[in-house]
Amino acid sequence: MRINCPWCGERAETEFRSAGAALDRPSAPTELDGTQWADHIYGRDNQPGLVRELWWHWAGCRQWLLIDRDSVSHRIDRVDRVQP
Amino acid sequence: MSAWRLPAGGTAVDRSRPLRFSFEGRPYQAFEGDTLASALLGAGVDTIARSFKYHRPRGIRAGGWDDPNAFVRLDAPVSEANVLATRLPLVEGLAASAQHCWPSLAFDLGAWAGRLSALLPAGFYYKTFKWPQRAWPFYEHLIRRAAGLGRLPDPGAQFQSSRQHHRAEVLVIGAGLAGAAAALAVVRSRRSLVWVDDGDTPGGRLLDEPVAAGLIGHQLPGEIGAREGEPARDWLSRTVAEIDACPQATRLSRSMAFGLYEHGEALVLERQGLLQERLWCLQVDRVVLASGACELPLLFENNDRPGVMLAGAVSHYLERYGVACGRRAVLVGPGAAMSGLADSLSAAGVSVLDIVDNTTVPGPRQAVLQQGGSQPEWIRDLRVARVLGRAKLEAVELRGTDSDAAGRSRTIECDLLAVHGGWSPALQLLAHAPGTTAADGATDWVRPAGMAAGHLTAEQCLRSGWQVARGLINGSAALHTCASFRPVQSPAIESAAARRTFVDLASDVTVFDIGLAVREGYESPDLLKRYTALGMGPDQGRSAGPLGASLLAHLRGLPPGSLAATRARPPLVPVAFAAIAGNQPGPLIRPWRETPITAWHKQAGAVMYESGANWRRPGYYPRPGESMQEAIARECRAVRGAVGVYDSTPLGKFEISGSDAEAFLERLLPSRISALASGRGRYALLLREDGRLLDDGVIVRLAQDRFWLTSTAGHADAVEAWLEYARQWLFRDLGRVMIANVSSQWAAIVVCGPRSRELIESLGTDIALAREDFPFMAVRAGRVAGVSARVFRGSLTGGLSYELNVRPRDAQALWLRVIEAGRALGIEPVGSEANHVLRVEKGFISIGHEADGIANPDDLGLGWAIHLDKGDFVGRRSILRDRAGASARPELVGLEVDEGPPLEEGAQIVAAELSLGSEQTGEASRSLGFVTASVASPALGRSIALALLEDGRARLGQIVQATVAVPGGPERGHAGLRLRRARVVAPVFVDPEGVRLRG
Repeated sequence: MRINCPWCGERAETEFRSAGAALDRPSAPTELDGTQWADHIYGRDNQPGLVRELWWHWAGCRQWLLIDRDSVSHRIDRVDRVQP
Repeated sequence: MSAWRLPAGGTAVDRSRPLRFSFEGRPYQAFEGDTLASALLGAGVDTIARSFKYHRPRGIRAGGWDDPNAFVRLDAPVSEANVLATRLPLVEGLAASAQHCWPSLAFDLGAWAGRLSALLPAGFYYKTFKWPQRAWPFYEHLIRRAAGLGRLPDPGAQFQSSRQHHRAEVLVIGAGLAGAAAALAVVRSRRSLVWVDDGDTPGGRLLDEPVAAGLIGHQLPGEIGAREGEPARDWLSRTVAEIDACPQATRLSRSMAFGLYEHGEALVLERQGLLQERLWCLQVDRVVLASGACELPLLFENNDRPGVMLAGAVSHYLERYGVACGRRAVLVGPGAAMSGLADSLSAAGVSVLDIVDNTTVPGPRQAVLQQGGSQPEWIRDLRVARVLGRAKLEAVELRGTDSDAAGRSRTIECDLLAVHGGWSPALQLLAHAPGTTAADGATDWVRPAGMAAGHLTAEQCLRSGWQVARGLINGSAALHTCASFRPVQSPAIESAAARRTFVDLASDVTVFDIGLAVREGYESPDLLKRYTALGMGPDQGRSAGPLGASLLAHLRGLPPGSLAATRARPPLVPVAFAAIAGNQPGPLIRPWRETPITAWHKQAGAVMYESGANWRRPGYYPRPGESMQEAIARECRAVRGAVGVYDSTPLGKFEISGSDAEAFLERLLPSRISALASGRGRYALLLREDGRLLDDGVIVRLAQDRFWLTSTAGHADAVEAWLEYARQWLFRDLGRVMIANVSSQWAAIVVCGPRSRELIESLGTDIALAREDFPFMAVRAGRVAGVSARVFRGSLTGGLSYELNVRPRDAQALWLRVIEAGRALGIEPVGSEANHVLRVEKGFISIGHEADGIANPDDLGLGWAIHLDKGDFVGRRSILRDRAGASARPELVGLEVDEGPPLEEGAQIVAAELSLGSEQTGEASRSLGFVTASVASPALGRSIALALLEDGRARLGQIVQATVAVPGGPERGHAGLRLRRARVVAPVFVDPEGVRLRG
């Protein structure tokens, strides 16, 4: 698989590491009940099709990237920088 | 079958260069260019193997990778098991023998399994060998001996492999007519090309046809350049020459594309010699899959006997190697194809007796030339029912089809039965490319052409290859590929014939087994495969898969072609690990990390341990004649009584700075960072969001906006990823945070023990070392032994301890100075084993031992490091949840045994009342926890341990029992358990008040 890093260009998948779904941290975790919190930590939708993921270019620019990837065909639609 | 070598002919062999080889100890002769299979056929050897389950005699059946049984053991010139004879080029002095038979190929005791076949259908091991349960190890032993093919050779053969990367726009797989036309189209369009072919010379199936086979030129596009009626081989060699002359084209022979992966990656294995291979890692944009088709056999009783061959294989051996596979042949298949084969065979001197053609499509009946014999008889209303002959084919019995009078039958004596049951396109690589299955056609970038797309004639294949390649390059829509499915004819499932009608010859799966699977509910091709082992053999079900799927559809009453074979996965052919390792053998595949002091450790005789994250660190430093335990005890006594030194360079070190650094760390760590003064540090826990420990270390404040975080050596890479994840994603609203991984920028030498202060003073330093000036957990910068250093007073061993952080270029000199200055004080270098003993004595946790990803900080007695009176931090919500819960938690405790060796790490802890062999069950016999670390303590003269014990803190002073494994023999592992008593104590054994730590 090739990933087109916005800084480094097209690189092999082995230069990257995946951190799974791009989920933001809840702003007030203590207001969530136990089930909601467990769902945030462990629960993931596992749908076939387009997923939005975080990948880390550890062997290159060491920047985290937001990638839209098709989980069935591995086709990558977009690779974005993380904006603050 | 009595195959024989023709006096002349064979395009691939060079008759002027004879070769000698031996099989099963008997010498034979063949020619340069032969494969082992063609050489054996030429020498008249009919049986070359015994089948996997029933040990039935098997011969050579096909011409390439689809032969399910032709696996031999190579003895010379190299030793190798499971070599496919049809793909092994013959060399002078080659020696091979049969596998999986005892005592000999001709007389194999394993054939008794065939007599018991009624007791050994598919899945028999789910129903038998279960009782009595005690006998299972015995059964397992027997079954393991009977399973498998071949015996691994003794290591020592030198395998040479290399790796090559290459980039091209189009990859064409296959050098038959379609592949050649596709390659020509690519070259004419001025695109870069990689053309991969498994054969020695280009041609594919064309080389199995008679030399003079001509082309109908006017049916082809003019650009292909085929002249009317010219032999196809002439066109091919002209085309190959044109492509070879093109600098942008790379042609690989003897190369098998065995895997296609996402985004245009392809792996190709080039065979350069007997044990020499090159792995090509290709990066391409488009792939033309002109990989041909696999010939399917027919189903009838005893269809596995030597002498039954695929029609294409008969032609293959005839044309390429000049070997006739019999003298009296019966051909079974569609008339058009069989009459061409009959022509070739009779021209070679084989007497073709009958052509059995029971296809519904009437084919042309051409005149057949005979060498002084009679015409073959065309039989249309009978079909092959069974093969007669015990060790090989002797006669074939034909019977009427069901619609006819079933009583009619004929027996024909023959020694060669050439069958043709249709073509199955070789689309396994298409299934590798994700997102599609082989049944639904082409993906955007991989398209089949030629026979792989269902075409059969030479002109169709040429046109297909040309058009598919042009379409791929221009980006036009995929052509619809045609697939043809023939209804499968098979004997009735319940008949005795079904047990001897083989669908998969590699795994001995019969028609009966498939019927059994359907009866038991395993109705899909995937379940069928897993239940019967159909398609799991070395040929990966090339013919068995499609045959099994269509038979399954037939049995279930579904329309033919509705079920597809299971999905193929890479690699397509067996690939040696050595080929994948390429030119990175031995230490190159996994380089060890070293510190500037590693050379000294090795020279001092340290036993080096693998320590995580590719580090090698000294385990202990034995003196001559000393045992490991003695060395460890000596090192521990030095640290507790005098002074020790160890190399702490592999630890992870991070500098976190910026005006938002403190806020960042407040959110990341559970400790209160705001209260940390400059020049001070504290123990830091890195928690995951679920409240468990990711790592532990120390956080030190160097200045208002500058911090220093350490981590364990093994997790330094993971901690860096975590820190960057937090900075760039979780807390990206904090703009001014910089993180630098300075693990390699600092070498760390730890001097520890009651006399460590004295030692550092003697080295000469401008740092005030007195306790009031330099308290525990403080950091100072200055010079030590003339070298710039950052000194941190932390302790992993529980006594007075100074960590000297210096530049790597100064580390070795400083180490030598420390060793020299410490000689008078009784210094010892300390390894990881002694460190382990020392930290267990102090009850300090270790990531991976106590922090196992399940115990939370409170369980480990680290609740003091968690400050809830601050804002939210990673893991806070989960800590609160655990603290509010009521269930019993595993808590860190110490265990003491009165005498004897240390407890085993990982031993289970049970109640004191339990005794083995009693009938206690349930609560009384439940495991209460386990031992996490266990050592012999020199300071206490006793064995001690740390354990995670349910409600441990409430059990202090009680007696519990720990399991001990009773060693058994090498085959059986442990033969049982016994129990040992231990006392639960607080998890700290030395200096519980921490007086020496803060001294």
